[in-house]
Amino acid sequence: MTDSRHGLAALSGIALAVPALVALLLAGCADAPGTAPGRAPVAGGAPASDAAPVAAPAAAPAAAPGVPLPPGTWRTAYSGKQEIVRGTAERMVLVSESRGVVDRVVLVYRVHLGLRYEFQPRESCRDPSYYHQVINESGGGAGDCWHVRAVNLGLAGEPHWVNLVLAFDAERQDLFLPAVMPGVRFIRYAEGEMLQVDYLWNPDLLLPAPAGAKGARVWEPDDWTNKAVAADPAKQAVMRTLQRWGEDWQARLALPPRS
Amino acid sequence: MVGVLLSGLCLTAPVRAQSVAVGQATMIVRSVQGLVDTARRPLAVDDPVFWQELIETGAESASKLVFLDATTLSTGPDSRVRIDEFVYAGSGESRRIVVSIGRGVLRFVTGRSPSSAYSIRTPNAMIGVRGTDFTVSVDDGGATRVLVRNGEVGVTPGSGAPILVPAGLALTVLADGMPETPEPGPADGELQAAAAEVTALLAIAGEGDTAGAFEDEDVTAVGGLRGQAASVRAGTAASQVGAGCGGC
Repeated sequence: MTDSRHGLAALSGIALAVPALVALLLAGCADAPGTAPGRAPVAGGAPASDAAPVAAPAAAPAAAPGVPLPPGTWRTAYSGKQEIVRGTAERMVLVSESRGVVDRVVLVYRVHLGLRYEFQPRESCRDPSYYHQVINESGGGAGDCWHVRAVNLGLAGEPHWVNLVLAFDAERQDLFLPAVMPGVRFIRYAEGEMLQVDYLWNPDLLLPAPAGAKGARVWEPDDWTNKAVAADPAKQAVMRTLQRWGEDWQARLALPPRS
Repeated sequence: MVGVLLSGLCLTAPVRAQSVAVGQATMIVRSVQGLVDTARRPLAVDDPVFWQELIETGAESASKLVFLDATTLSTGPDSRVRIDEFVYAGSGESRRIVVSIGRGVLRFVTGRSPSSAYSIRTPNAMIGVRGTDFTVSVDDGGATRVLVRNGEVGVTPGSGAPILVPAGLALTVLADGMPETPEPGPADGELQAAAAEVTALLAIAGEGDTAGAFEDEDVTAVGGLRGQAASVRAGTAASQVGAGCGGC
């Protein structure tokens, strides 16, 4: 957590570069935050940077086929579809806000492979940093899974494109965007189809961060590591609730038909 | 609809009328039932709630009720909460609201009525409300815990004089009515966890207006930290959970 009061000033330099970075990254990035670098989802690890975007951002949250959204109003911060070496990839970043605060985010990543290609097992189904993970060995062609974890929305270094999209969107919309968001990721497979969806929640709304010496604070990524969660019953309550939600929600995700 | 039900009724004094709606359910998570006398019903979003109704939540369940004076009452898993008294004064204010909790956890955020109008009963304490936002739990052993987020409450234990509990502190009244010394809220991990579970259940699993799970004060307070969050993001590398761009 931090007591810093210079957030917008600190962000402003990054914000200037964000639109350009977003434009570049949206043209080439292939995955969502939380997937370790180098684990390409398509057979043979086809680099998405080989591909060119084929669609501009769209506006309708309903454009997420097979992906149910929790109740409320959702706005599309980014939507795009691009051709990759062995098929196509679609991405969406959806945001729900409440009175100037981003309260929820949904990330959708869907890959359609050509008829000749199959997925390989996805290593990101297993990670010791996950609070909870379930691997459904009998599902899909390459192992369905879902897990509960906290997603770091940091911008330092070489941030993930989703982080940049969210930061840019928050600044443009003048919204509070947390620095970390716990949530549930589902990865579903069918023959030649992969659907990955992240549902993320604002932890500052779920559980107020304890006040610091200079007043109110916000949660930081380090506050939601497994170790930090294990030391705090209230955080455990939040993560357990996410886990229960995931158990219920997984049945709602429909595997898209191969197109 | 609630207003319609009440129109034409003289409500400045308690009326034995179970059909008198005093608010409605705005969020329901999983199994929540209402019991008036012997009539039991599952509660759903937008259902009215009635004077003297017992609200029972099941495991991993929660409810959020909004009364006529805009007071919100959220109940957590395995809770039994009853609306004992509700004296409506009209114009969106109540003269008296008394809620009792026999088991479980509730979060209470006062509405437009004077603070003196509100009271919470537990098996071993009476809670007078001076402030706006607090959580009360009653555990299986009968102990009462109170955690104040905003404002202040006065807790009168079964044994002893009233104790003021300001924001940020938590107080436990043991099953025998003996109070402990108020301590910082985070020190009471059990109550913090119970409070977090209520909020999280409503916000994460709510089937109604999920954004409405958050109290206005929560959102306002968090929104005020916008710059701080931006600063944290700007200075935090995303490498912990997947920096860079897999496949780029």
